[in-house]
Amino acid sequence: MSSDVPKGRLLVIGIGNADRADDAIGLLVASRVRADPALEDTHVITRAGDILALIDEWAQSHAVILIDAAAPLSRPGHVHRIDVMVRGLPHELSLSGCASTHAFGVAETIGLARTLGKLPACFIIYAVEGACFAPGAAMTPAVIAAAETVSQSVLRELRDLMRPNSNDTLNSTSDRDFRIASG
Amino acid sequence: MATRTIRVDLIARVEGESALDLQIQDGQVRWARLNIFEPPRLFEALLRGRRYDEAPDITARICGICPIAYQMGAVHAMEQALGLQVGDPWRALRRLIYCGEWIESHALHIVMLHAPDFLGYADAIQMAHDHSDMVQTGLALKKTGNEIMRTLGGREIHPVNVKVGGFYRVPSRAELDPLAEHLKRAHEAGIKILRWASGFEFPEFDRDYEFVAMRHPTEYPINEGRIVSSRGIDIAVADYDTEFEERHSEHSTALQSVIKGRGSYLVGPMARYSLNFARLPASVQALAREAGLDDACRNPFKSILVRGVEVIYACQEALRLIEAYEPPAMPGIPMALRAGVGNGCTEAPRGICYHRYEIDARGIILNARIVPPTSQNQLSIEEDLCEMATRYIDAPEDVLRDRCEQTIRNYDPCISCSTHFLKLAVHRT
Repeated sequence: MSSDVPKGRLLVIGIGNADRADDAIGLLVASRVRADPALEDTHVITRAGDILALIDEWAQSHAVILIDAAAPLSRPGHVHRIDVMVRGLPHELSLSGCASTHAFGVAETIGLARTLGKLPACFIIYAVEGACFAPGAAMTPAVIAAAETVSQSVLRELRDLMRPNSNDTLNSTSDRDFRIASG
Repeated sequence: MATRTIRVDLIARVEGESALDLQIQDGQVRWARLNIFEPPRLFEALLRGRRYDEAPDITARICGICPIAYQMGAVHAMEQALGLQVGDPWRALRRLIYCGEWIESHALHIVMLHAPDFLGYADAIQMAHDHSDMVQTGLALKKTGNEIMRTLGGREIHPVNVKVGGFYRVPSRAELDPLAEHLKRAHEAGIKILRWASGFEFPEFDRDYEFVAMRHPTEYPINEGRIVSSRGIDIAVADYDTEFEERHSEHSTALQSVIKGRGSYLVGPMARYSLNFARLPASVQALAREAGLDDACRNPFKSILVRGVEVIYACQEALRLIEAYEPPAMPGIPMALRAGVGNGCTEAPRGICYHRYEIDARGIILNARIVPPTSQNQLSIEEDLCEMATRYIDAPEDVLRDRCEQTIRNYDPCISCSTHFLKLAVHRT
């Protein structure tokens, strides 16, 4: 079976749908991270939502950083950084039992990977609150602005992870919850 | 007079949005209605005015897990309209990619969605604590299906390589050989899963369905054949409308299909298996019998076993197709446009999926009609629910609710396809 991720590499996953406005944030950040020439050991992939097939790749990865849009909580562009290995998933993201016949989402797949012992040593989620998910609509300015901030944060984390003495516990006790100024 | 209402706002492990209302009066179930309120998706209207060759990729978007079913229905219908006969090796490649879809869809449903019902877990994540090996086996099996889809279709979800007349690009032998190695392991995984599932406890629940499925002279049906039923229907795909009709029901945004003059019918793995057992290889028949299945299966709870049998078959068939594959010089056959009407019907994992298109001389789609499997099974689902609720009418409401949910999951329904989750309300008076 072909594997998307060579063992030991860093994996960045952008989740989203390019045609659903702010849902594209994960893809946008992934494209910016991919464009950084210094990240040779980083594998950047994008998915529309069903990430069940990635469990094996997670187990083979040194660290995973996943970027996805979050449902609006009245703060478009607000970025939630979640260290899954420390905090687990916030209750709001936990949809256990709600898997459809078609797709296992982020929360279900992380829950399953944890049960199966297939989570990497480091797993960070950047969840960006969106405002609009309508088909064909433009991304909201606050969410576009968040893309740059998240991209820079992801790149900074990747550089830290690539340091020889990285212990995979990036800021593990300091989950950040920060807001991007609305445009 | 006391009225009790049980409401379930979320039925898990079902695709799409719908609700169930059970009316119980004087201790008897009066009716069960599957209220589908997922907004209509209007694919048929969307297709009008588009080119004939856009239909496979547009219709593939109807469903994330059975896009091949829609692509195949579309290409077969268009090829009939254009007078094309697409033979091997393109035909074999189409059967191969369809095997991939059956494997991934069935593996997901058997292990991740349906098995927890029988073992008393809320979901596959909870089940994985105690059945880690089987969950990983199921995931590996699904991955093999995905790999077939990716190799032949360009990507596993909404593949983009199927075209009217053949494919946009055909694989080399060297590209298929690695799949064969994965399929050998997947075949063993399928047998392991079937034997595991055969140990589940199944309620006695045989029902007298009219089964409807495709039938091919020699093959277990996937991509072609006549439409047959357990009560005598035996028609060409083009005669679909002579036996079947769609009705609108006020409680559903999806049309419901019936057999004219008779009513409900059942499509999907149980119908396929029961009407085509003789077309399974002897080795697969033996595994089915070992799992406790007869030549026909009328217990919807045992559909998990039938899906297991079909996974094993799909692995064997895919291996056979790969072994026999000789790449063609061209990715497809030449064609000329003409006005016409075409019909296509193939066996999606959830049952027959019918397409009909009318195109003009420039290949522009004038009319389109698509009948997905879940629309065809809606009435059977409601009848199963009435029967199940009657049997459990005196049971505690949480037990009744759980049984109703499982009854629906027996179908692996795709509500999104049929419009098309489930809120359950039981009204007792």
